[in-house]
Amino acid sequence: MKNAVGREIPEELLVNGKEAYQGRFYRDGKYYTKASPKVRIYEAQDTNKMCADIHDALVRCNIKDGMTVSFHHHFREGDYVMQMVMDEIAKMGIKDITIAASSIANSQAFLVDYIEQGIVTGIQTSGIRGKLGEAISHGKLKTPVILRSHGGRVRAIEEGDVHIDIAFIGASTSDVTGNASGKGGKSDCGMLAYSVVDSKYADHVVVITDTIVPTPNFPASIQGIDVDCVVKVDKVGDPALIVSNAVRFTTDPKELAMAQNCAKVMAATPYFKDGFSFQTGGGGSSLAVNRFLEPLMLERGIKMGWALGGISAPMVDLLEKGLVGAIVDTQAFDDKSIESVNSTPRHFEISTSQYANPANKGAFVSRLDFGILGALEVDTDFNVNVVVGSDGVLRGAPGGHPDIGAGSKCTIVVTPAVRKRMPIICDRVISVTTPGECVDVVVTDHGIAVNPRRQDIIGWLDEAGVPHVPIEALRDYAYEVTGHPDPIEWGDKVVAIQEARDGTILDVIREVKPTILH
Amino acid sequence: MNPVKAASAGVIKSGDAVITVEPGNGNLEITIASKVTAMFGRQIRNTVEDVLKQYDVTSAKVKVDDRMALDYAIRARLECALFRSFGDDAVYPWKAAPTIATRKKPVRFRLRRSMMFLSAQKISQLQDPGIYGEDSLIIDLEDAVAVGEKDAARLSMYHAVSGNRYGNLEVVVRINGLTTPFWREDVRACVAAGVDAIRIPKCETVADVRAVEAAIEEDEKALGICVGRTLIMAALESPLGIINAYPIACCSERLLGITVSGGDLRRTLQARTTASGIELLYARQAVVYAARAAGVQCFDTVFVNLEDMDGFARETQMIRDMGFDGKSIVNPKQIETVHNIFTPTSKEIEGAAELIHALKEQRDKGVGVFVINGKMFDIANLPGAERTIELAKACGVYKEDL
Repeated sequence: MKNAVGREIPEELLVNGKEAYQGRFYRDGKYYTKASPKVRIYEAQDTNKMCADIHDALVRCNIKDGMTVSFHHHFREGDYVMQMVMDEIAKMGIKDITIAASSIANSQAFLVDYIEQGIVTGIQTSGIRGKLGEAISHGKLKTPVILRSHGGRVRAIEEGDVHIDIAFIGASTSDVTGNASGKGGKSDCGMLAYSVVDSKYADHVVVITDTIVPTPNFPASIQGIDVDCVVKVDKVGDPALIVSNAVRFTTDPKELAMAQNCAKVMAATPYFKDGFSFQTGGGGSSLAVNRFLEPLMLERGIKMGWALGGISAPMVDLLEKGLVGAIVDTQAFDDKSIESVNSTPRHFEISTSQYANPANKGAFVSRLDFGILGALEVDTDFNVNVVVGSDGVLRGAPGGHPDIGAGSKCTIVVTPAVRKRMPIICDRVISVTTPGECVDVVVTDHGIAVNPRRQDIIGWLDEAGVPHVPIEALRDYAYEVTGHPDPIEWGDKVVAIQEARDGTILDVIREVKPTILH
Repeated sequence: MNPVKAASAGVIKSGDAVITVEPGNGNLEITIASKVTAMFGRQIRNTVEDVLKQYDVTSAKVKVDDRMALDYAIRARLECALFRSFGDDAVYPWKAAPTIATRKKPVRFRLRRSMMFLSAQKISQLQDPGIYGEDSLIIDLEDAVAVGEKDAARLSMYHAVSGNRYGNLEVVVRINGLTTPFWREDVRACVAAGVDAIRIPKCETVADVRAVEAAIEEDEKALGICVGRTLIMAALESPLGIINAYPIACCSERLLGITVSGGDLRRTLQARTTASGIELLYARQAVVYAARAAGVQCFDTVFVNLEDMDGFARETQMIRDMGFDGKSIVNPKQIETVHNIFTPTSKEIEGAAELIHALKEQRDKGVGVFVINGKMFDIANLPGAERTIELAKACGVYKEDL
């Protein structure tokens, strides 16, 4: 059946209560009962949770064929934990494992082998990239990948859509009872926000660290009372690769112009008042918006109430200048923000549930005034794709994109209209990651377009003298530059299911047809 | 014509395509590899077949390794590879670009605060004309293009400029010097593409300008283009060139202006590069004097240290004070500084408008000289004030009627 964004959802997926996407806020006001884990009692005195190695931990947690295991991605491209655990699982002859990760990095391409050997038969994640994305897009994984936003993952775990048998939590530091944190140690990643929900809902929880510290390791993101095993290894990750690509302070006049226009759009709305809240993404233009906000804030004599993140240096700078009341953070992208969350009082670590869970009593994204996002594609309905590349291959992640889109009062996508021969503004996105009703404004290097659903924003921009054009004009420009593209041809097999935040199905992605050399 | 040997063009870089052509087995074998095959594979194939048909190629093996190149780039690379494969005697049949009919005719005197250099060798850089707001584009076929790539650069320039996207952005092309074997074919390519002006590097004498003029006229006639259309700019890069600035500035109706080109000049002068620019003082003044006496425009040389924006601003202010009309730049981030310095401030505009009104008033009263705010003004100040208003209008900062 066709869902609310016009995507065809195969009937065979709409079973066991699974629905097609009905529109945002569809489940607002409804009740549900949370799922719960099976918990082993540790009543005896002074139980030793320290395992000799990962093998020992797997045995203690009763690893079996067909289980679901989970991992976080706080160590990004420098993560060693997923491979250490999966290598051991493979060695033990275990198979049919489902991996429920918060995201998967390029460096985890080793999974392709385990997929081919049938050791991994299911994956649930935000991001799929590189060789793994290619393998999955060519139909190698036994079951379709389930793609969820950060908020959607938390909801799925708390509602019981996903049942995690064993959660593996890589920690920068831990004490022997399992109080674990992302701070300190050899691989400081700032926080362990993504694993909090795993620690509360998995049947078994294993903390893996390279730095044991004296008890109690407080403040702890992961509580020892939720942890079964602690394993000490040589290294949990490579610190050099844990930080994202060094923060790019763009000097490209095109990107700076887009950032400046984005700030102008923000300032034209009544949301831009003292105490406003703000979240920005990681691209060059998005980060540069911070720079243009500063003079506007000073001009109006207003301050930002709180910033939400994924945080990198420019936002920390604003905090240090006293222009931001507080930062609430789920992920530290660079050294400066890792250091800041460690030491700055008003830079707080929050869990991903507090960040973006759509099924709790109000996450931070639902209070957001402004959200600045990127895009691989935007279509004339304002739907955004950040997951599927121009060749039909999985190479991205929803991340917080759909959450910010749904929650923020003014969601602005900043993107060039064309990237080389890829028309970013198009007729119809290859796949919907964030529905058009959640995207309010698109700022490109060839003009600004406002979603017709937001006549109020159109009015504010007109009043402020900020020019804008219909999104069709931007699409026409893009096609003029690149030529009009042909639609991608797909195979029959569904290789990925894009879930909306609320668990309904937003879109499906099929396998690519093998490349025909023309 | 068919390929007689293997040849290729293009490099592995985003926005480019490596195209290889080999003699065929009596038919056409085309293979295309591209990240955008799904969306644009058919269109790329159509372009390749189109070009092969245009040159009556019936037997060839063509391999396209595309890196998200736009259509103009694929055409340019394919034509380059083809003509390389046709053998050393092959002559490219330049045709007048159809867009010449629809583009605005070249304008001799216009706003040229910023003239931005782009290398024709970096084919993807030609894809976004005017997006940075530069007043003029200088596409370089000379020093920024390797000796072995001059043929490729011509084709890249031709296909980019003759596509539909250049609109009315002024395009100047710097051809190779008159002592090289390349310049004559460069002129043909420029005239065919419909560029606004040809920039002559290392121009030293009136004879240099005449030679280029004659070539342009020959090509305009041969290609059926309005004779006189293509303008000329002379870059003075040597002591002799600077000494001949005035005769050069006077010698052609096509000549829009002259420029100082510092790099080569400093070398031949055996001078050093200083922060104050004293080594170029005479050259700069000579160019301004010559241009004003001849009634043409004058432009200053490039500033290559992209990190020293303060030094760049100081130099730009200095040459503005000296009387230059604009400056050559090498990077989009330099545009804002140049435009800020060359655009009249509101104070200057107000002063000029006030002066023009006052002069009119006083003239009506029969008064020749008068005082405003302690300064003396007379009719001699009128052209300067009018120029300020004209410049302000051109920059888009003055919209009233004067």
